[in-house]
Amino acid sequence: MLLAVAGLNEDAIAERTRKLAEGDWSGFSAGERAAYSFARKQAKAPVSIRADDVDELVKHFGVERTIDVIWWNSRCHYMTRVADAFQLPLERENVFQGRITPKK
Amino acid sequence: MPTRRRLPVLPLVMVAIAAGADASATSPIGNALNRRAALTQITLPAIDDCDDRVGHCLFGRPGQLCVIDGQECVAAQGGRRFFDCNLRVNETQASSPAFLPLLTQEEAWQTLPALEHGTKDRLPLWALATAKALPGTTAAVLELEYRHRALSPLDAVLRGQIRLVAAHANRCGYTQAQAEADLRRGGAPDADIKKLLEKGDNLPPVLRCARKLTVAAYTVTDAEVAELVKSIGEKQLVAVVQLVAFANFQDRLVLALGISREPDGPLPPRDWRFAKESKAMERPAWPTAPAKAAPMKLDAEWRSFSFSDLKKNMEVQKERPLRIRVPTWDEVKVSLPPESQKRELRIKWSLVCMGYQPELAQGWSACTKAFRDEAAMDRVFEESLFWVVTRTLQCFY
Repeated sequence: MLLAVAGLNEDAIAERTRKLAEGDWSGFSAGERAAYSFARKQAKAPVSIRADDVDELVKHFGVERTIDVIWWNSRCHYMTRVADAFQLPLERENVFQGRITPKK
Repeated sequence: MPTRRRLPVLPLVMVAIAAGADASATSPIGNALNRRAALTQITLPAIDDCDDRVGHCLFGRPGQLCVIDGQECVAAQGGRRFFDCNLRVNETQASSPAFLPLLTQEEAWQTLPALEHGTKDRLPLWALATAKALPGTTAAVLELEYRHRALSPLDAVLRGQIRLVAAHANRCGYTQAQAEADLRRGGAPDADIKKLLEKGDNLPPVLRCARKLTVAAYTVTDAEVAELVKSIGEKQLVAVVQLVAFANFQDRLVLALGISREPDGPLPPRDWRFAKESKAMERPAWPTAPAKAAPMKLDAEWRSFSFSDLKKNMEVQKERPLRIRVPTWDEVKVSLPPESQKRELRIKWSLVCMGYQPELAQGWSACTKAFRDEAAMDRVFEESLFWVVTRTLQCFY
């Protein structure tokens, strides 16, 4: 649903999540791959993040955009703790319907 | 002589060692150091006995002492070690307190939105790292941190305990030290603080749940949440969960920025309130270059769930009963500011947070709103990152 909020239509969501889930990220840009790998490592063990991991993001995004990526990834952990604690599911319907224009 | 942590007894000991005293583990000085280490919970992996005649002849340096705490932070040093094999490491520690550039205190205060309440005291290091790219967001997080540390509806001891348990579970030394300082400031004895860090299931249910929610949130059970609803009530429980959620956000931010401690020890909570306008800096466009790299495959754990398994699990999740009553929009909107009442909220996540703990939830909303305004990330990229995080945590949200 959140990818729908981001503006993807159903086919595009299915294609993107399939690619993410299957673990072959070669279709994504090098920057995206670095960011997804960082997100996974940070989610599994935040203390394992090293200067090299951050440097890799800086190489693709620059310093300020790297801070954006780190901040957003960290933010995801706020959302998931609340959702998991109360077993809050995503809504069946897109509660943003009508407020967004799907991309191709 | 660099000093990165206050250990008041050390200078006297160092003078004694420099004067040629015996610092071996069995000597009075060595014993004193070890007792001090036990009291302050630091590790003394080695005490140089200063019998370094060659070093003295070559470098003309006095005796030395190198004390390292459990997180490999040099507390005090001098003599051979400083000039020998660890020179590069020590210089790195002294000159790079973070993985990314930090503003000075003065620069950060100039970059942040105007201060409307409070005094321009020392900002935390993480704020010096984020203030340039995200000034309004940094201000919002500083305000929310204060709410959690000083204005939370939770009792001061309980909120300090929860924060400590979460920081310890995340192995975030920075926020652990801060939580310990908050607890001490509130009068908690050291022995009680130490007990919270022990392994085992001796913690009270609310703290056990906080730890579980931090380490493996998907393993929290219906029964555990039901027990907490019964013992502390829904309103308090939502405050607990929002504190744990904030802790997991903040610990990851601090650890990813490579910040391990404040130079002069943990900072007390500060009641800062900032103007809502900020000067967001210009950013380059998001890189959209097509992939050129070779195919990559993630580890076996990632591939253990097929795409269809994931879809099935998400459907199961949607059928699960909620563990807390979701307030109606009519109940929620009365506690919101007028501008937020205009658009009906239908997201259960937001209704629960806003309905039970509007101040904490609005503080978090201010952070995410400021971030969206300032970073303007690509939404598909944002949600793809979120998807990777939820998949890693086995959270089918």
